[in-house]
Amino acid sequence: MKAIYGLYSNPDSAQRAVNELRRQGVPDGSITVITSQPYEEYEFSHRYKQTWIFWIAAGGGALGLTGGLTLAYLTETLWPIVTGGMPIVAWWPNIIIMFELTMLGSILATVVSLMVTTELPTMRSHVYDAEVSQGKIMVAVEEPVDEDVAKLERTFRTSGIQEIKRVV
Amino acid sequence: MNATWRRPVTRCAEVITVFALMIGALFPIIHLGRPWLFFWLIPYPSERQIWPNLRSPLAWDFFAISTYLTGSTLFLLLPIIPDCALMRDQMTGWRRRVYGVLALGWQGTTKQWHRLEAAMQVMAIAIVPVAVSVHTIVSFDFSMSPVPMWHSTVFGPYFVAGAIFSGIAALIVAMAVLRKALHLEEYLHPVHFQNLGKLLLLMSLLWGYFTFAERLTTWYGNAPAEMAVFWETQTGSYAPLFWTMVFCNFVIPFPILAIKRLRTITGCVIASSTIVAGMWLERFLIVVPSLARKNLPYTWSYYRPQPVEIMITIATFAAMVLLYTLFSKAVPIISIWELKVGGHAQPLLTAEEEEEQRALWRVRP
Repeated sequence: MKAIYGLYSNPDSAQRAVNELRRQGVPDGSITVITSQPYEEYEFSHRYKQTWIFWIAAGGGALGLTGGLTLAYLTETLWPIVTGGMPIVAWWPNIIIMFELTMLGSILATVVSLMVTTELPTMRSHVYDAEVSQGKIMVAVEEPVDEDVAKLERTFRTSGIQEIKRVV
Repeated sequence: MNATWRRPVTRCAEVITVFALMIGALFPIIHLGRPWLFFWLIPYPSERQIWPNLRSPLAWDFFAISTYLTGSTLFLLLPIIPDCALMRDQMTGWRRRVYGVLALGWQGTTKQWHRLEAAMQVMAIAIVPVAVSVHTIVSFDFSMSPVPMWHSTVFGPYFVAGAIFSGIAALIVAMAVLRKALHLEEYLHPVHFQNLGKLLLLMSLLWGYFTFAERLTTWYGNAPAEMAVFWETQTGSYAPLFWTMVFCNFVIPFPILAIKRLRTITGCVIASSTIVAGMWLERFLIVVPSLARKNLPYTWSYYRPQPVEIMITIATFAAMVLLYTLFSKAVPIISIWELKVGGHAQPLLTAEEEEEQRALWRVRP
């Protein structure tokens, strides 16, 4: 993968770099910001805030509920056992099975959607620098057009950068 | 919840939950009598056409415990991924490779952070009712039986309150040990013990209330079978254990936690240690006296723990200490990135969010 990136020591400089890149016409999709912690108070981290994860969790819950209901109903009707004078299909205890499987469905759907949307686990090489873990903030432009690289370098430099790196 | 002080504490607590549950989940299997047939609890189509009875509390246990174990394990592991990435970058050699695998290729893009935080929000919402349900369902193992002093509607909330109570106490003890052993004084401050101590005080009062309500209802009902168990615990052979429990769970911790001057780290640890012992006695007193004084007097007997049972009990404590030590050795016991976030200023609100906040705080509609 091809990329050009700058490492910033504070989020204000990183925000300036993102703003400047946008002003230069770099589309949001090509700008990647990598941090060692979430920065909710900065605009650059507000991208991708919209998520379907809550609806996916609800969908997983609905699936779990249906699964729980089906499992309880089919088990009881296919192999009817009379216990303690309870009806064969006993809804009070079935609610417990249905509830637990609803929550399990919701939890599993959440984790699966997290893994899918964040592309984890992955073996592919992405743009990354170990200095991020030291607190640096990486602002990268992925797959830049060769003619634009010099212009991007200038943009990075104007936003208070010390070092610009390239991945070729 | 906007309780930012909790950030260094959460992982310590989640680890206790997961390991206690893993060890606890072994106990229904140990008590099945034929533990090698534990898989009969799992609802799968058997060629012998023996299906599990979903109206049995043991089958409920399977669903509740496996859901809670899955949920709380994922809730613990998800926020560890960024910390593993951090360690991957700091380590060398085989450790770097191990943490590289555990980091799953985490980069720390804004999208990854958003999705992780959203997932954690959903999990936090889902895990609370599951926690309540699992402790209630464990109480159903007892309260669904017409055994004296078990068949009680208060058992569900009593067990939930007891679990929170003993959980906080165990957390305080674990935090104090970690603070001393790993020199975490800069992260685990007296305020954490103060705040958890206040919560423990509330739970001590709640536990006292539930114990009183349960005992009063039994005493007032005056049913002969129930009263046999009642008097056995109040004045009979189990009375020393019962009153020790009351002292450990209420009489000793209450003044320590209620008086601000005593609610120090040492004070909280003393109170918590007595509570851990007291809550163990509580569970013993729920199980043993009722089985020793069942409805028909010809079954009455006295319980003496056998060496195997004593060893199983000691082994559970040893397993807990071992697992906790190994975990805190391999993984940061305090979430690094969550701690850093705690040091940030308040998040910048979008125009929509600001409007929403204004609407929530408006005096008149």
